[in-house]
Amino acid sequence: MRRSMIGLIGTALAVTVGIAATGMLLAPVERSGESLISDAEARAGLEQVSDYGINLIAYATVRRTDGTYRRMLITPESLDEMTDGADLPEGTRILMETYYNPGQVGTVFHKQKVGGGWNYGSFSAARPDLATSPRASCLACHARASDTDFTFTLPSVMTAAESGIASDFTCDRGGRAPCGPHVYRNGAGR
Amino acid sequence: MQDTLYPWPLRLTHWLTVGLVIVQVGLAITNWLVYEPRPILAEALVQAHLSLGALAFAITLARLGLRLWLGRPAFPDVMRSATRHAARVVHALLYVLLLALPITGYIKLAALGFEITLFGIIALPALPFDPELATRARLAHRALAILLGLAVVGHALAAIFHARLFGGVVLYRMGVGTPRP
Repeated sequence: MRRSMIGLIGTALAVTVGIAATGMLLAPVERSGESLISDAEARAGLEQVSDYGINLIAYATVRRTDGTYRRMLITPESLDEMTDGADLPEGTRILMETYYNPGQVGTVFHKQKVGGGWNYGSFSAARPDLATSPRASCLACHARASDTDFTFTLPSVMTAAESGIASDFTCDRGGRAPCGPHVYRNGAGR
Repeated sequence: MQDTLYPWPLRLTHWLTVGLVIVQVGLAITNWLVYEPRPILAEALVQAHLSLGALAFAITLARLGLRLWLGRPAFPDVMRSATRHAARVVHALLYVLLLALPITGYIKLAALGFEITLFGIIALPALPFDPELATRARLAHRALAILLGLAVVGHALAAIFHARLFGGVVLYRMGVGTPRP
């Protein structure tokens, strides 16, 4: 009786240790910072866009009081690789569609992270062109977003990666001037 | 009458500067207006703005040298002491602004790693990457541009006002019109 009890406990211990060891071996290795929810299921609520020859995720809509708006798109791999508090990963593409009339895309601006910095480009929706290069106007404007990896809508990117929610908020400034930093922070997830 | 005129190199560089400032303001405003619908055109306008800004900087330096070398005509006798003093201050301010604007314009892009090539030929050296410095330079560039606009308008209005008051001798010094007796 005693031997069978000892055998049972020993077997249970061995199985437990085996399961734990297997789990440790198979668990994903975390990069610096805390991993965010990034699987396809978590992003199920985000719109998938493939209009420009690559797969993209719509993560934010920034509206202006004059009725115009901008839809922000990002490469899904970038959402997968996002870590809390870290900059956007190398190779990330972010596209900004401009809409002066609902459903009618104007100029599409985009940028790509290359060598730790950002290159910029633009094209008309009818003729996608994902080439990028340093551009004076884009660089000078985005310099004021240096705290958020030169990406005004980084809080919305984080929200999309973390909880699969697309942001939709209204800017406090008209024209093409960037919104106040608090608008991007407070608007994330709305 | 001839000795009341600025030497011709100073008159030439003065009017070249006037033309460049007008073009630079036009390029900056047009860039702001067309950036979103025509971003590639806007980028070309920025390149032109950078090249012409450097040209204005070089012309201003040359003008300062010419002024020291050739001198300038004395102020008309009809101008009061306070008016002469005000004119000197505005002239000095204009020189400072014409030199400071290209410098801040250069820093605001060079400190972001942007490689500036003037007229597609002359590459300016890059600065260490410093977005905070670039942002400060951008704000300074905008403030200085507004200040230059105000100084230019004040300078032009004063010249026109004195031309009407003193028979055109002030404008004539820069080769405009004929002074009335």
